[in-house]
Amino acid sequence: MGGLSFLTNMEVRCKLKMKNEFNYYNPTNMSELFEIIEDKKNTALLAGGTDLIVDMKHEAHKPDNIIDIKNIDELNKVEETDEGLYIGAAVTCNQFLNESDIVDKYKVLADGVKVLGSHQIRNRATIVGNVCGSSPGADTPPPLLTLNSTILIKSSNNEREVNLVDFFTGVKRNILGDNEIAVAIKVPEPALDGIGKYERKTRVKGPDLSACGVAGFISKEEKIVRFGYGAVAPIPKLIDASELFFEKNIDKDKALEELLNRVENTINPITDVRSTEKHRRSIAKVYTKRIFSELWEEGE
Amino acid sequence: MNKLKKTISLTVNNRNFEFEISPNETLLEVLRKRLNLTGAKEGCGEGECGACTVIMNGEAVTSCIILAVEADGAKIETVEGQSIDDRLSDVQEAFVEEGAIQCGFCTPGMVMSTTALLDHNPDPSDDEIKEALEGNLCRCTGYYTIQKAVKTAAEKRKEGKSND
Repeated sequence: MGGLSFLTNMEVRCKLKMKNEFNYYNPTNMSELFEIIEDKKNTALLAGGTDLIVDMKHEAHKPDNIIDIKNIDELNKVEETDEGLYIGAAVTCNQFLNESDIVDKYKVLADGVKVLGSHQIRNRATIVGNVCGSSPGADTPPPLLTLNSTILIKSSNNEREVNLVDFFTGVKRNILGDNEIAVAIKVPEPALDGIGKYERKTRVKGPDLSACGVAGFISKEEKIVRFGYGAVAPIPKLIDASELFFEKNIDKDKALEELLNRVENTINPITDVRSTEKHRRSIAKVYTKRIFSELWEEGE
Repeated sequence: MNKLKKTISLTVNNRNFEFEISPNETLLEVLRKRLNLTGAKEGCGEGECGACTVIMNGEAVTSCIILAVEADGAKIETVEGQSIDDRLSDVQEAFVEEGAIQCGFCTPGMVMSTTALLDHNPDPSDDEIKEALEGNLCRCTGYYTIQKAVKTAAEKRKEGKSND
């Protein structure tokens, strides 16, 4: 460090300096958190900050008050309960991925978490934050949808648990109210024979935003075939095709054909820098077919 | 509105510091401007390129998208703290030996990501190396020599331990 002392009087420039000024709060329990939320206007919750800080640097988001939720114990829990998996709002991607038993059991979700950002981003970014960002291309909602997940939402005087399929309302929009916080994601324990997989198309290998993400989950024992889709509609989409494969008296190939028709009718992709509408439609169906075949055969 | 300043303490390369900062200062700004630790670079400023990578409480992070207030009480390691008594660390030595450096802009971040990887996983596979360094972009080397340097660094660490 001494060797750099010649720099003492030099101005070290910073290109992307955050201009927005704000107050920073660091509550350590939920009641303190809700007191601040109730008391302050124009607040933003900070967990991993991998989207929020970038938005603030670009002045796309100018909160007056930042509430850091990372020091609240309740929000740092990732654990299996009688109801399934509980992922607190401050649980980072790598914190989740380090729980090897959970990763094995909830593999389709782990597939999505593993490809979110880069290693450094996964050390900070949270799974609940990825969901609450409500980006159409987010990697964790499609797997979470296939696992029938719910999101636990709290305010100072209320608590509600909403099925994730009803959470998203538009591009980067969801049902969270001003004074509400998404406390956790809850994932029911998957069927013992359940197998899942998430695959996504990106322009380059490594950290890139998804041009199309497809998650599949199949359990023959519990008669489940569910597929989740990202980056092909304004919100993540779920197709529950269980009845096609297990109730209707049609063979597997016909059922798959019908599933692909449903994909075509459910998704609503756009053309942007990452892909074209046509390519996204095509990839969504190709991945559906591929993931279905793989999972179905694996379950034989 | 009165935007409150905050006092934070940081342990950077085993030295303790206390600063009064504005909440909108990033960890990278504090390292570069207040401590003149200019090894960590601002490339993209958005956490994408990894040039600002430092180790925070044992984990590699992009310091350009971490507020300094968030790091209050944290133990930070930067590339400046890697050499001891002018002797390069095993990772730095391996980067030099394998020619894993060209312009050098990405190198401090690469070194810190590699150091964090080997601290957690002394014998990483090729895939594990790629996963750990996927957030560090380099426009010069083509990555092959960097990957080789990580392997060499792992070997050096093993030899170092067996010589202890």
